[in-house]
Amino acid sequence: MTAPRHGTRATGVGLAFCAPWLLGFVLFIAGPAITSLWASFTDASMVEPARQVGGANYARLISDTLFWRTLAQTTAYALVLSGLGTGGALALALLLRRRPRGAGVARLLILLPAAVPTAACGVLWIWLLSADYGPVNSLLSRFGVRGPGWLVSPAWVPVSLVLVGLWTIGPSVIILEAALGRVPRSLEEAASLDGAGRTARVWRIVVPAIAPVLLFVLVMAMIVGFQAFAVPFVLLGAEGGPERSGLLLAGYIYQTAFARLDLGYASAIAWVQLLVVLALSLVLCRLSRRTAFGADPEGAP
Amino acid sequence: MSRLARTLLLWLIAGAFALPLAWMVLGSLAGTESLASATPRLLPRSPGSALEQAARNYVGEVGPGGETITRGVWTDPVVDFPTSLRNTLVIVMLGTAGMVASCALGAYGLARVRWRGRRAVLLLMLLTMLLPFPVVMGPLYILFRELGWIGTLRPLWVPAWLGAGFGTLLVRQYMLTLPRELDDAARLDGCSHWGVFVRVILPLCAPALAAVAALHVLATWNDFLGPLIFLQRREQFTLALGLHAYQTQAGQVPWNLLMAACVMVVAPMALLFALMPRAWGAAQAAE
Repeated sequence: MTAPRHGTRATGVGLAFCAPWLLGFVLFIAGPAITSLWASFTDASMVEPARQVGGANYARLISDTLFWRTLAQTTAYALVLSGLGTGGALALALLLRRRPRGAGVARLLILLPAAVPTAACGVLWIWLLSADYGPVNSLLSRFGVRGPGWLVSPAWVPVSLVLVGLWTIGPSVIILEAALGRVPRSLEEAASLDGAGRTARVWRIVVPAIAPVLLFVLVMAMIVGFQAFAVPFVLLGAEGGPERSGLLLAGYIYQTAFARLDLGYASAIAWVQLLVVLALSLVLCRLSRRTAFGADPEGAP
Repeated sequence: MSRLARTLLLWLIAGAFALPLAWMVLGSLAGTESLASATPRLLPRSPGSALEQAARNYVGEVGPGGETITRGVWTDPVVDFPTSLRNTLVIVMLGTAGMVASCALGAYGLARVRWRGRRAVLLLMLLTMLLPFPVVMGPLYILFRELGWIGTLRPLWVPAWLGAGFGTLLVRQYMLTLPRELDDAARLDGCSHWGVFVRVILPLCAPALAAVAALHVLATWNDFLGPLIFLQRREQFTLALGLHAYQTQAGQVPWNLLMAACVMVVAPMALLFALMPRAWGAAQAAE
């Protein structure tokens, strides 16, 4: 890759083509990221010049019970939503794979909610999940079920957030369905000649074959879940709803930076968020590598 | 599971996904009173009455002298839907043009020019996709404030002119599938890199560029946090922010009007999805 034959002229041309992105990277990504790292060691506010405070912001995090609650709520939300979402998307992709009657329309209906802007999604679900006059509880009551206070009971708020999140798994379904389509038929046929039943073929041949894509979908869903902001904000308000049961990290950072104008502390929380996201992604990749290579010793005939 | 059971199950699930959207549309066609009860009446009495109510909810009633009788979403000065729509269109169009141009440039630099730093740039792009927006949003606000851009639409479209890692990688992936002989032939004919880019490669990349455009339109139309931070005055709001303001304003807006507003915000993106299912195919190629 570093062969000298590329020459300095080629380097100039390459740099020129990449110049817009590189400039944007410095101005809007690297610059602000470094500034926020620096700010996390100061008492920077949105309005006044900053003073160095060393690790005080990080020390404050340790005793901030709201931070720990928010971190726990966000982790639970991201893990449950990405797990259920990826599992559900896999199930739907497997259903679609056999091209049942009307698969095209069904696929579009499943994908469509992902086109709904997050603000509209929030406004829509406030009405749908309203305890007293919402269509969801009204539908439940027809079956004799007394619907819960989806958005007013602290115990149900996390459930509602996951439910609304699951509504938008369409893109994951499409990605997994495409990956299933690339699994060679011959693999399955060989297994079926060896006497493997349909369930065994799916779980021991087809699903392991798409393991890398499955992992990609899972990690992306987790990263997105960890950064969720708009839906909880619109659905439950800036403070995160009853007893802040729906306050997630991004919302807490937003509140700290833009309502309390405490940029230094907000930056410290944001960097912790970044580190947790990176750590979780790494752990997932590690775990999956072990299982992907360890699984199914008699898979190959 | 038998074939019939699988089909029924799929249809049941697809119906569950569609039900909230159906409720949204039905709600936007209902009268205010029929929604404000413990047992909301969602199905209209007749198609005629639904149409009449739709006109009232979406547009409003205007008297013979031009005076407003009932306010619909389009004519309600509180939400000022036409202005929000215009702001959103400005941001979407200016931003998308810049996004497509700079992603194409970067992708050519990474896919068709052999130079020493391209691996490093590629890696940097992948890493930036992991960076959560909350990490940079505070400093970005201060940067835009120093530039005097807060309270204008600029923070929401100017950065798009400098591209994005995801879009660049998507187009690069597509460019890598084009045969190298194309470039070599054009270079032998005396074309510069710029000439090869504009005349040979760019026209062949149309599907990938369309996918980048579609994804950026969707992202910008849907963006909530950006407008929330960078916009201040009502007359600059985008549709997403305006919708939220409409819902939270004092003196509760009735649900049928809110659902009509939702339908108006959702419909263009739903159409884009229905017309461009291939954008998702291209997007996943970048994985």
